[in-house]
Amino acid sequence: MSKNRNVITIALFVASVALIVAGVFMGEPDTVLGKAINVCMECIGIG
Amino acid sequence: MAKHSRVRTLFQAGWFALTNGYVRGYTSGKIFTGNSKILCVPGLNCYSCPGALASCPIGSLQAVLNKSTFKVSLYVFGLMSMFGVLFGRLVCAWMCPFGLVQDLLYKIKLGPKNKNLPGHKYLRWLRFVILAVMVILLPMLVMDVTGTGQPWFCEWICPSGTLFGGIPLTIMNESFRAIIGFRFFWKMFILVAICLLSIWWYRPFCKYLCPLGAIYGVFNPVSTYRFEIDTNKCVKCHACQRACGMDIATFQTPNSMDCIRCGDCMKACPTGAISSTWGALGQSVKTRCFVDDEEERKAGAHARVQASGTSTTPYSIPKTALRVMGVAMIVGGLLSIWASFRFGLYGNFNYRINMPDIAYVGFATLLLGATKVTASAIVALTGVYVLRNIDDNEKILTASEKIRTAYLIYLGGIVATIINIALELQTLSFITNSLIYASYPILVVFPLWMFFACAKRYMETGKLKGLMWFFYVIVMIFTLITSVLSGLLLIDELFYISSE
Repeated sequence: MSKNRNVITIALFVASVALIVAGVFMGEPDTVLGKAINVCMECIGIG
Repeated sequence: MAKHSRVRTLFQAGWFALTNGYVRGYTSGKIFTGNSKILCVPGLNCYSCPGALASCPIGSLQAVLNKSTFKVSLYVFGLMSMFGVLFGRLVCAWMCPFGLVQDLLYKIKLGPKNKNLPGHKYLRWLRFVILAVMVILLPMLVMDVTGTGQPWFCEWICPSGTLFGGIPLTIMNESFRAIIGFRFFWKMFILVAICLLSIWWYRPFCKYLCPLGAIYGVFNPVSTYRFEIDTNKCVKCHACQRACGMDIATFQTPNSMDCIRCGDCMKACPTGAISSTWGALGQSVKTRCFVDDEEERKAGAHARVQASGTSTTPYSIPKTALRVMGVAMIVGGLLSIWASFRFGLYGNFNYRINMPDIAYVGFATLLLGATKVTASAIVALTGVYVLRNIDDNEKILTASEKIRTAYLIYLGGIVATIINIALELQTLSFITNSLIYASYPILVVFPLWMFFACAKRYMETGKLKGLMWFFYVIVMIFTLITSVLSGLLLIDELFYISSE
């Protein structure tokens, strides 16, 4: 049971890294950065 | 305050300071615009907090879903999944700033304390509804005429954004105060209500409203950090449930989605039946690095004595040579810690070196810097260990394992860096620049490991004496070179600072 769980953990970790890499190639980080370096007026409740 | 609770509070505060350390933001009323914001921190940390050095995962997820060009978010969801797999809801108890606020409010002694709100059995599923509707569906489906959506959760619920972003920015910017409207007062109402509830009920936001906790909770049963119950020790006394603020019977559901991994149940258990997977791993590493496994050594030594009829270490390394080695390890290790920090972690967070592709460089140097600092620290500590136990050959034998651990940690950083370089080739020149000044782990740690491995063999059997001295000389030469480089860098920094 513990061994199966470890396999699932490793598989999920590899899958998450693959998602990150895929997202990087699709240009998502630029969107994240573009949002983060400007004040999010909605987030702070202004406007 | 119990010691464990104090440690956790200090860690939470330290983590907040580390991830929201842009001091100039608090003094100028502006937010940090550096490239480290391409990364998300694990907790609910608004990127509009003046001090925030990285992004909020929930805010980033909505930002990507808001764009009509993206159908789904792979990068942000991948990051959240990775945090979930690594930590589960450990993030909630140890790395979330709003979790810290709720913990501190709950400590206020103002009447009887409760765990759950009325309707807890159904309310605990509300966070999943908020995740599905306000974080995913509405941002993805409701678009304006330009094809852009809104961050519904951040806009109408998130108290972390109001507390850490809205209030300080509004105070410091007159232009913001001029356009305060209904939304601000609504978010303030939400914030005040949650804060008041937190005084008498344990972590109401985490239990009922947090979408990030909903995501991480799903990973609790499969994350690297899990609780394990020793059924032979458990007496089913429910002490764990009484100690648990989330009201979980840990002995029955050790990896519940509601568990925030505060560890209070482990401390409360009278029989020590609850343990964590990290705790077991940490004990193993501690034994390998800093505690001699007396039983294992003595068993091995006993077998060798019986077989040979002589001492387990019939050959000795000259004490003077060991003293020089110990001092070299301490000096080299300390200078390497500084150089690795300066060109890895410090440079990453403060961006003194301007590079157009620094977004990806930052991740590589952060990983490499962290592993180099750790490996160098282990070397320095092992140097202290060698000097303190210079007359005990049995303890000197264990130095090989300690240095091997340092080398493996460093190797992990190299592997991660190579992967990052594969993603963005322009990082190569920056990485090599960093490696020159912080080259101690590359040049010294491996031959140091080889020296102690040969020394162990020599002390036990008299073999590999020549190879041992060869590596001894290599270590000394490279320690001298890397220490001079790091030392010159340190002097240059001091001179630069003093001449400003």
